Amino acid sequence: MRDLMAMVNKQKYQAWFWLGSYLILVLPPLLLMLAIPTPAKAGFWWDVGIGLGFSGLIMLMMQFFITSRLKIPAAPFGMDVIYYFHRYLAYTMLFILLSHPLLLLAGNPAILAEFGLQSLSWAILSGAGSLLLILLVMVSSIWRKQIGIAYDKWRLMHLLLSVGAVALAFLHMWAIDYYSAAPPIKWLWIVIAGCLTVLVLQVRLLRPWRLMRKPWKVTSVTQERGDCWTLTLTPDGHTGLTFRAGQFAWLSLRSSPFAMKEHPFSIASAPATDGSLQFTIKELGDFTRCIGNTQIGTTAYVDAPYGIFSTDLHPEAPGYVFIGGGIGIAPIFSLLQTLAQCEDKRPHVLFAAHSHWDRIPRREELVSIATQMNLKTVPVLEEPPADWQGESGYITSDMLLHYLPEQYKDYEYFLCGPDVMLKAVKRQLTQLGVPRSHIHSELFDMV
Amino acid sequence: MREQLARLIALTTGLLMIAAVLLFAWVQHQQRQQMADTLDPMDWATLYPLHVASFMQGAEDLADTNYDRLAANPFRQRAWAGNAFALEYNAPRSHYYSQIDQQQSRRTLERNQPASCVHCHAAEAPGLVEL
Repeated sequence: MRDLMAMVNKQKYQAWFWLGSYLILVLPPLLLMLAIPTPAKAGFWWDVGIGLGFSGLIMLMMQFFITSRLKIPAAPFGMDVIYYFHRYLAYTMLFILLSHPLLLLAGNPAILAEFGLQSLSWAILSGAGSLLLILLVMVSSIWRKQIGIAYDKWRLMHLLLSVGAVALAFLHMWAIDYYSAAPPIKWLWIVIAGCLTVLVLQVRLLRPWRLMRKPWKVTSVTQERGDCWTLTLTPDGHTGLTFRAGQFAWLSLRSSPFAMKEHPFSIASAPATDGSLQFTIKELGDFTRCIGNTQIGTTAYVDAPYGIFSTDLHPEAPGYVFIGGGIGIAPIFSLLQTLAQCEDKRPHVLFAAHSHWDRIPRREELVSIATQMNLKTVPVLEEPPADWQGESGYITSDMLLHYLPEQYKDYEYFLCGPDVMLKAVKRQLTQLGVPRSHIHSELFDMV
Repeated sequence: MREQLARLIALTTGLLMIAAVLLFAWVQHQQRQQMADTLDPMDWATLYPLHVASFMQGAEDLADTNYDRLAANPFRQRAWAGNAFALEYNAPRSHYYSQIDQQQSRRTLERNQPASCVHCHAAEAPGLVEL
């Protein structure tokens, strides 16, 4: 907890700015309702219920802003934290939205009569419908894999259900037309709804249109060990993009950027003079299973760069420790290649955790990079061959201590791999006294 | 670690939202408590300016050409002969006139018709209910 607070302290100004901006955006409806009060109906708790309803609605609308991949607010935290914030905020939003009808009913049970089948009004039906859609959005997001919804279908469903939930919540407010009846309050909500519509159009139409104007061509598809493929993309009629080593991109292959069939992948190459990008992708899910079938010349669209998993943000470190598990080695390639290109002389350590020796993708390239810089490479095999002389099993504290330099607490640590491995290694590093603020990881497995 | 940070910020945000709602309800409650003791309807203008402005707009509601319904339908005067409504019976006007049209009616002035409806339209109504 102390380490967590240390990290919070480090980012506290950014966090407060983010939190303050959020509150500035969500509080105006409540403040305006205070400025233009409405005659009371049923006391304090009734007003709390009403306030929760309006707050829940604005939080629901803000969820669209949070996930719109706006780079400026995401910059201090990284896009993964923004998506986690979106997820956890949804829990608090659901609590607030469920409290809204419950408090109103508790404060005035007489309105239960309105729920009679004879007198169900649009106002009540739309509110209940909105809540139901929000519940569906959350259930399908939390248990997507267990339910068996493909990622592409889930994304479309997530968007449609969320837009439906906002529309019904708006209808609910409009149909009741009591607390929002005053023209300034009504206009505020119209402006908020207008901003949301513009945002959705920007994200779903304008951004894909911009991506369409900057297509990429697949110029090579290379099979790697461990069911991995490396795709090289070259800009088609433009200069490419500027990115930091270790960042990731949303990649659309074989489909238009309007189709919402984009997937996040780490860029696995250093910024190149010809603008080309490399992605090393493992056959894991419904999209990546067919990645090897990609034809050379296929058009791709790249929405990038995103993420703060980059050594560039910690240039003062005496050295870096990279810990990659499985395909988690992909962004580390980008980081190592960039350091090698810059002729970085600092000592670095790489722990490459894989199941078998012959399943380490781009192994020869790792060896080559290690010769160009001061890099100590430690392959850790879960199931080593009989004649294996190196490390085996899982990464442990003793193993880390054995290979880490003396002043290892000052190093910056970059972790990428399966969630279970990340949690275990983070725990070991913190036990060794590495400050949590020195441990960086990128989280992708969010839904 | 990063997930924990996101969780912490989200939880803090949710708690701040709930705190803001409680503050909002408390301030509204206090405002209404202050108003509960007033009997002058115009005092409401300080807290509900839009509502009072809308109410005052009703004062201009005099344009009904069919206002005098006895003149429009003279048979009623004969049909209601003996009843106070045979003296004066007008079309309803805006809320602004809800008390005036009863207090200033010939029914009330000449026949002492109780005009009990006026009580519920008065600012004193909550006090009268408590009595």
